[in-house]
Amino acid sequence: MDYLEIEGKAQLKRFDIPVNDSVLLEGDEIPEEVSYPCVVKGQILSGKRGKAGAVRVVKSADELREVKKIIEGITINDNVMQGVITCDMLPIAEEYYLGMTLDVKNRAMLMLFTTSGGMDIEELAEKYPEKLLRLDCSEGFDAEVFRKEAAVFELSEDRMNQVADIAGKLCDACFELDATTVEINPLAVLKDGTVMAIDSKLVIDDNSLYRQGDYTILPRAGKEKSAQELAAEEHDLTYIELDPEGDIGTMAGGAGIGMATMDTVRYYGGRVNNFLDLGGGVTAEKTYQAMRILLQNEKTNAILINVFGGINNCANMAEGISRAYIEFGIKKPITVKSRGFNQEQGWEIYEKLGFSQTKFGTTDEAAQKLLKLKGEIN
Amino acid sequence: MSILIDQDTAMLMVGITGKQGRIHCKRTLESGSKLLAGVAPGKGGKKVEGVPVFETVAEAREVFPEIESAMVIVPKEFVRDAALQALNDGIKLLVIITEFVPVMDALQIVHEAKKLGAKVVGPNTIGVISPGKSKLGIMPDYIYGKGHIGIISRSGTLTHETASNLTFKGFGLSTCVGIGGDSIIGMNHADVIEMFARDDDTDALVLIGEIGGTSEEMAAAKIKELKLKKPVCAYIAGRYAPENKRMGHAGAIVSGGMGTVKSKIAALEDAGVVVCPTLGKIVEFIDEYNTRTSGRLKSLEPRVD
Repeated sequence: MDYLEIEGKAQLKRFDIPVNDSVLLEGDEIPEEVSYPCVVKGQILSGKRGKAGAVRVVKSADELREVKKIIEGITINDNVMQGVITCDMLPIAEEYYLGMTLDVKNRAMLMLFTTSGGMDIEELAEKYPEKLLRLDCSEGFDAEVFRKEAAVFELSEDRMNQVADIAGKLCDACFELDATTVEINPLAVLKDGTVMAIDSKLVIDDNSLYRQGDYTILPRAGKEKSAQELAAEEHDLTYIELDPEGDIGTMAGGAGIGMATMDTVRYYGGRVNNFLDLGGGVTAEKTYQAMRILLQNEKTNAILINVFGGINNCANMAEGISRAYIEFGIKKPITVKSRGFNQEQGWEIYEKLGFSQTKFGTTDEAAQKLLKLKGEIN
Repeated sequence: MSILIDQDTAMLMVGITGKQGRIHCKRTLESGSKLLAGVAPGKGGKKVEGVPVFETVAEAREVFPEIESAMVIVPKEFVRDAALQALNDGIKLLVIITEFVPVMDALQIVHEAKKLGAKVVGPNTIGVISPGKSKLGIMPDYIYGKGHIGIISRSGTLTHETASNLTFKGFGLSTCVGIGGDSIIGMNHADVIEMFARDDDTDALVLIGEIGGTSEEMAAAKIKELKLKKPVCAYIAGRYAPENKRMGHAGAIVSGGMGTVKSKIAALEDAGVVVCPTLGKIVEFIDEYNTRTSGRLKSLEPRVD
């Protein structure tokens, strides 16, 4: 789950990290507390805001109204603007970077710090790796170690105290928020020597959302979801729209087999319009709903079902699929590959429905069978 | 031999009294594996399918000190505590079946295992099987034929798919390891490759990867480092996956050019691995290689086709 700048800053504040104030512009009214000149910042779930023109300085309320409209219309890589805030202009002397991120390769929670902030951190890591301090904080934050490692930056005692204090709090925030990324870029040093966060990025691990609060401040606007996506969401199925020109629907029992099904159909020349993963713990009700979604999709002319009875049960899955097929009476070419626990019972059910099946063959064979049924290959 | 587990592996199951626990207790026993004990707090003294249930792993190991392998099949909220207890009570090979385990919990488990010198497989895995010998996982064992090919895969269903494809075409498997689909997992492809490299029973390796992460790139580096003589073929799922979409596995997200199919294929090919465009082509590769080298990759217990 990705959070916006103001949402992330609100969380940082909760952990006592100094942040600059933000004013959220709601509706057409400009709040009186906004003083000029001020910085106007678009709130969007994407980086590169500055380059896209979504961060600007305005000198008056009129100009602010105008700029707000412009920023609201900006999209970056398909992401839409979620809102607009203003912040006071601050006398900034220097910009640092401080962040925590999950290092998958080394299985660690890594703290990153540099006094060359403000720029893209990936770019910095590549161009000036010597300027980036990396500290393994998987076991927590050790102020002594941080101070020792950060000595190369030759900060004054007061500066180091402030930075180390914020670093410790950021580490706490990271663990308590189950964050896979929490970033302050820039961590600003004001002319009077105060260090504070003037931007934030926060990503919380999806697997941990059940034990985290909802920290959103702005309701999320996004691309409109398709009827299929909405229906799938309702029934706890993973559904992703693929090739808009595709006419083959897929249902798979597992993420890996779902991706392989999509790859294989494509390899043999077919075009797939969706990825549907039933996940684990599949019931007949779930496959019924999944089958309904595929059958009722008018863009879908043929269906490939590729499931395993591992944690799931082939017979249960077949029951749900059968029920939907009989109930809706929509006829489309269908090929099934279903293997694993209770496979024979599953095969029998599909046999009765007249589906084409690949019992012992590969997904390659199942995909080719379906394409033959559609008359696309010989 | 085979790796990680064999016919002598004594094991226990944490979460044996749950719905999934009961199902897989029965299936594990049917497969002939030595499942000696179960663990479920508050259920000590009961039995599931004749298997005695204990309050803690320590209590189970007091009665069955030979148990050093375990699988955890509890809801994700309880995985961290269950896994840390098992590791601290002397489990040396821990398979975590549960999916959607919080990343911070997985990190803590992996770090604890490292300190204690234990191996963790998963989370979000089907486990490990050495066909015909033993299984420590939830796979249907009859689609896994016995033989001399090793499989390493992030995805559970792709392990089933690859294993059954090979089995139904007459080939056999030494050990199959589902390393797990999450971003933070215990053993990765490279760790397992190292074990297969030393295993007399494994003559060829099949590596199943997917988009996202760097496990496949690290596997390629390991193959080079070991100067591995055994043939390796690979398949990377998600060639046509759209960017920044989570395709079910947390590990399977491509972002900012990292973890792309392209970078994985390039790294693997550079290490001499044959990368197949589909899973069906893996069977063709194995068939061709076995015929050419008069190898022993055919199944030792053929299944019907």
